[in-house]
Amino acid sequence: MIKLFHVSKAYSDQETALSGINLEIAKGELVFLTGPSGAGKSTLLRLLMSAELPTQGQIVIAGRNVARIRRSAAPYIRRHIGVVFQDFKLIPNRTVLENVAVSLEVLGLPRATVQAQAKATLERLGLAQKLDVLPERLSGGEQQRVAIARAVIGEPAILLADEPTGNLDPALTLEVMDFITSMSARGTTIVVATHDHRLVERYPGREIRLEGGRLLSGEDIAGEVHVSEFMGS
Amino acid sequence: MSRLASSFGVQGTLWNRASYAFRKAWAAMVHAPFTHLVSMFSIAVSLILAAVIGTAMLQARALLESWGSRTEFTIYLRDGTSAADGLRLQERVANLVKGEARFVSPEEALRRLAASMGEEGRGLTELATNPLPASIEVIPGPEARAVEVLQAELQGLEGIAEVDLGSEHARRFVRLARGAEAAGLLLLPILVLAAAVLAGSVVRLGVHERRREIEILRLVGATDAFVRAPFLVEGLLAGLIGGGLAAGGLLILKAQLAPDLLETLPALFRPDLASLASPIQLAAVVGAGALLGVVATALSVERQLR
Repeated sequence: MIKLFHVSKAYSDQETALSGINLEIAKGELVFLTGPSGAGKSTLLRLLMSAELPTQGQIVIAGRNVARIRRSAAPYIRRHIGVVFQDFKLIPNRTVLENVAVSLEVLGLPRATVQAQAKATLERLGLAQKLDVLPERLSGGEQQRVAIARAVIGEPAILLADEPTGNLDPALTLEVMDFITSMSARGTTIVVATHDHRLVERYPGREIRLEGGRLLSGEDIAGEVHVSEFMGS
Repeated sequence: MSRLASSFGVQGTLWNRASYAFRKAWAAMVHAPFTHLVSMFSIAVSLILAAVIGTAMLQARALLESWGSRTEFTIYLRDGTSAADGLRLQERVANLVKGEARFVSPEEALRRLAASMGEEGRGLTELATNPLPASIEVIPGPEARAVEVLQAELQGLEGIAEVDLGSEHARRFVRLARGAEAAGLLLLPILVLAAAVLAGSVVRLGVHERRREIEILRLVGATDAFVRAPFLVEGLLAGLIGGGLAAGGLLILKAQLAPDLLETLPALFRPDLASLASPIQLAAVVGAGALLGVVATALSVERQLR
């Protein structure tokens, strides 16, 4: 589903966000993207959602090289991809229902269908009572769930989530992660960028670790986990 | 495409997209009514001025053309010229202008004047002495020389007191009309441009206010056309309403203000009010408003979204 070949991203000569990334993620796979702040997790997600182009390398999503697409083609790629942003990116002057509906409105679906689907998705995420509320009136956790609802409403082929549980309490974290990982069972490819190692341990996904813009091998990760455990952190 | 969209078999109809654009445009106008009212009124005022100036220009041009083609003039004869001398002069003048010349006796001139004044002119026919001179009405032929040259030649003939090519007032009016036409040609594009800039500024402000929304729309897969559409509809609605206001303004101008204004103008300078707010002109004003709104918006949005 997703293939990266020698992908690098530099914002200037001094600032290299990603370097020589080779990666393959299968359809329906659940992947945890881990690493410290500034490791390049968000940059990698932005490349996958075609919000930015790589400086070098190829990114192939569902058979299309998104590193070489025209700007006008990017929206059509993004419609395959649901994204949960770290800062939620909710539209402040639109209600919860309207914020979620926007993912289907860009597809030009009938309004009644859009409204019904948005309501159903928000109900599944426990926000049925907040349909007409503006985002500023919601708690951080509720805003997070609205962002998740908007990302999953179109049943995308790929779901990218940047710290999707960063603002949630432990109980809600599990609820939301159960919801997200259940999509994997239905064939959605899921990439979750997270600092929370408990999620990696709890859910049956592959961990991909970034450090300083480079991908660590499986052995490196195992060694680091071992060292962490040894240090008692 | 997402699986949900695929399940509908189509990627959405034009109707759904248009409906979305109209809903969002209307919501934006309701959200910021003041800035949109400014845009509408600026379009309305510029269209009213453009319509009035345009109508005045067209009428001035028509008047100028009619004056330009009217080459007939009048020769006044000296006092005491007999009818026989007048008829002889009529023949010489006709030869000179290679056209028509017609002797008008003082009696005939007085009769015409009295008839043109109606009831008030009855007293003229009872005057003890006729104050009007004999004259010859001249229509130069197509091969005649310029009227100014003819004037000089005719002035030299025995028995001719004055060659009147037209009143000084009329010539002043021609100059005034030509000046007004030139000023109108200069003013019209300035007015339209000013309204377009103002309407465009309102849209630019809207795009700036909604830049976060636009960024998010793009991240969830909105095309440039999808982002642009509500702004274009806003421009269209502002233009249509502005055009409608202008049409209403022209009707009010025609019904309320124009009759009073006309009273103060000499008949020669009175504009034709029927053409000022004719159904065709009103429709054109509304259409021009819509076009102005859409074009100004398209240019502004294009620059902002680049």
